[in-house]
Amino acid sequence: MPTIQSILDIGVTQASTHERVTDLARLHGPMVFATAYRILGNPQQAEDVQQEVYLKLLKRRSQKFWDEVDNWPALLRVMTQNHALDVLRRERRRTHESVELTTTESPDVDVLRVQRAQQLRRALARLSQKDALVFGLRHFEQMSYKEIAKQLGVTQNKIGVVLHRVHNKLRNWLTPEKGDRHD
Amino acid sequence: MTNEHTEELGVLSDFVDAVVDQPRQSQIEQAQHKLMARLATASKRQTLTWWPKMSLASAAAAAVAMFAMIGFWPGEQQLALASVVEKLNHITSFRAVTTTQQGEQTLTQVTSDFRAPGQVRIELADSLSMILDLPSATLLAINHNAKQYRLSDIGEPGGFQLETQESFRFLEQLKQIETGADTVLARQLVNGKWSVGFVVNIQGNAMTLWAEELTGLPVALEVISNLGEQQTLQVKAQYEFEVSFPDDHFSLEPPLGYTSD
Repeated sequence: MPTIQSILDIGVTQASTHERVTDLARLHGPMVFATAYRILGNPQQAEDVQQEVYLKLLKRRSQKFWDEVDNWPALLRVMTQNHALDVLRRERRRTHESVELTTTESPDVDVLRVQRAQQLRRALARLSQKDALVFGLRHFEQMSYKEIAKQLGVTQNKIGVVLHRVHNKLRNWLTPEKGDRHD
Repeated sequence: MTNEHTEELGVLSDFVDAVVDQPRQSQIEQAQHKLMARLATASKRQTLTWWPKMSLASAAAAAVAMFAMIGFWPGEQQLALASVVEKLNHITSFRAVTTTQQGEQTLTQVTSDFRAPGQVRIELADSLSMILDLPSATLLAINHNAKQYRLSDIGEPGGFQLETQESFRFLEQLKQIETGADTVLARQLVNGKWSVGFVVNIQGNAMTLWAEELTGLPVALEVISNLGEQQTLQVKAQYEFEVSFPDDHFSLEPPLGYTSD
């Protein structure tokens, strides 16, 4: 049974967790939104993902977790892309892969560019979560192999292998003459 | 990894850069505003959520320790929404300052004074005043800039309809808060008063009502409406109760020197 002191400590930890998360939101909130937006291309969905990321952090009560993070921007990018890729996947399942993903672009923008962006997002939704994450961190967030490897707990060589594999798949899926065919 | 592959990755990177949009600054700011508001609400609720996870004995022991520390005992002063609504039944006068905001921009601020039975005075922008006497269905509208007034029978055709009159019965609307299904938020300072928040339902709309711990009376009411893409409207009403108004504050006599339009 917890002691009164340990119960009161929970309150103290919660208060400081909230302060930390609020500080992180002030500091990196715009970056998190931009990361989600680049993956999703939809401001409402990006807002939802941004909030989910920080609400998830509020639940991290372990002091060990907070002590061990040494690169918040990198970790937040990974968390954000994971959430955003989940949304892409749900969207793909919901639309049975046949309907164009939603876009809020006005009609006067380059239609071809919007279509290609949709194709790219659809292709990302077809990749495994980890492959899509590695691709997104490298190409959407411009993170180095070293940073990605550290955040995902793998070697830099492994990142190279994954990117090579992803590249081959995307080349097949995105090349016009091969069409947006499925595996 | 081959040189060819490195080159191809570069091409792919260029492709991503070319087709993927960056968010606009306004979108980032809007999202940031909503995020901070969401976190503020989440923290208030979260401070209450750890209680049910404890055993009954440890929760009771913690309650004894914590309430002893802050000097009061639960049950005697813990504020319930039902008692807030009940207190409103005894109110004879109050003032509401309602501010409407979209993003950081203040759209309107309206001061409404109320005195039983059914006397209302509203100060609008542009030096306009409206004095409404609901029992006699009379409206005195005053334009202070033009020094003009209009006295109307709001029961007559072309005057206010009954529904419109009802919208001025603010106190009655507050009394229609549905109690029982409300969510209690942690106490915080609102308008300089220690208050308890309740997420309430008024005529089907979810709002946050803050009530002062000491008096049990409402301090503020907050409503946030999503108007569509990137548009959020926030309405906040701040209340003062049992306000002493001057005798002529609700008078239907036009001010001296003003002419009828």
